[in-house]
Amino acid sequence: MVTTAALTENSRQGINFPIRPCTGPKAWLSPKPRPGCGHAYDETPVGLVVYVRNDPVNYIDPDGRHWTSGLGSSSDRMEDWFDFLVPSPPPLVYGDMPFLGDDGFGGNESPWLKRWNGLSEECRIGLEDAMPAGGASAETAAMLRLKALDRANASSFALQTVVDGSDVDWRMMAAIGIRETGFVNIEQSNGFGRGVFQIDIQQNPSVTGQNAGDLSWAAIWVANYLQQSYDQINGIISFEDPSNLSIAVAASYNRGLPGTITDITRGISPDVKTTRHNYGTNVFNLMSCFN
Amino acid sequence: MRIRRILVLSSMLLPAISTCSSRSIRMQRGDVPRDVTQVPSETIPDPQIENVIPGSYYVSRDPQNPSRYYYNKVDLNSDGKPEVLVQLRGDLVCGSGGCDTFILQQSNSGYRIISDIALTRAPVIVSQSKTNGWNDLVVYVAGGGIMQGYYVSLQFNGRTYPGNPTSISRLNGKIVGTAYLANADISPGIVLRR
Repeated sequence: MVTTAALTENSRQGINFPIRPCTGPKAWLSPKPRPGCGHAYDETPVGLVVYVRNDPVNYIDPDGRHWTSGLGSSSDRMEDWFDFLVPSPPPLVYGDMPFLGDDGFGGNESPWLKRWNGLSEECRIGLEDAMPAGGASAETAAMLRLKALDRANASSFALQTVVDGSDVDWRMMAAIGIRETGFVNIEQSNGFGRGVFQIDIQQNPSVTGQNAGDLSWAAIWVANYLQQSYDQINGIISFEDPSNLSIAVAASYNRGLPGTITDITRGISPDVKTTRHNYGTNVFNLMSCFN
Repeated sequence: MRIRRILVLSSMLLPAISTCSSRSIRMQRGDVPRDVTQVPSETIPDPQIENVIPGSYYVSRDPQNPSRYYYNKVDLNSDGKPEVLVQLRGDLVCGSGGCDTFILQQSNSGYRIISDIALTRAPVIVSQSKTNGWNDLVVYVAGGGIMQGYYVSLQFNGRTYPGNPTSISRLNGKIVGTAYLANADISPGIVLRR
């Protein structure tokens, strides 16, 4: 069991990146193992430690200078992600690099793009689906997505500790946080969603805005939701492919459990009535980013 | 047992990892329609409605958050017989994208479901505009990765309304209509009995 003392010590040291094996012990909530898996962020440990020193969830994203507006009319614009990121003095890793030449990097590949291209295909697809680029440049999109991943990774130890002893995979919670908010603590003005995981405080009257905005409290709430969802879905439906159970559990977080079960029992994909028709699959793909 | 273990663990962790809770960023409010008339949901239980809610999955484990419903009767197709707008809420019933809203139509044997619209929130605005003889339904879409919420108009296709509002484009322009289930965010609703 992980103790409070251990958590504090690790947080102090910035050790939030245990390298996990390619295959997890909880196959039903884990992406399939794939060749070459390992930690996606071994190339950039400095940036990760920087995030840990600050507040990763409430982190004020520093790097707005690459941003261009006017990306289209869809509500899924990358611009929307940027709206929550207010410039402030940053612990920049790549942003401090001098601009040389037309591409700003002296003809070399942008560090953001380089790091982006080092991710697994499944992880990239997951991030692209979670944070649609709209008209953003490839570099801007990569930067914002990678920073979301950094925020989630910086909270990985806390998430792992919350789910310790349960069937819930912390990577599913990290993935949900990215899908919902880019792992940023936000308040949704008209939908009542609060916090990294967008817990709806009107639909769940026992949850306060302060609860939902507290990552530790919210993570426990989400873990319980996912555990109950797993118990109910697994008790009713038998899946040949355990991946589909994971997708169904993830989808239920977005669509609600009864509707998810109803759809599956009718032979309908659990994603059909989720946001953008891809919530469960998207979360499943995002989980691969944390292998 | 697993859940209990999580909860027990939570009491140990709260002091240790609560440093991430200090501040949040408020999202920009969408275009809230101000000209629509708001109608609160009914308060009298209707067994006929409860009978057609599908499956037995709407059973809450949380006594503080029981499965419940909100409803209004509205004649959507001008045939003189009101349809029923029903929205469900409760523990695990809704997700980050919203809740299920059912459109029920009267039949000889009671109600039948003609639409199961996921990812909805209260209120449901019955627009003055019609498609295929039925009023369009305007709902607010947010959550699930949609950071800036927006309204969409669901149009009847001759058989049903779209089941997933996030597949519909953002509604631009003034919304004219009547908002039903308007008090669902502040009312306890009617507990769903099974």
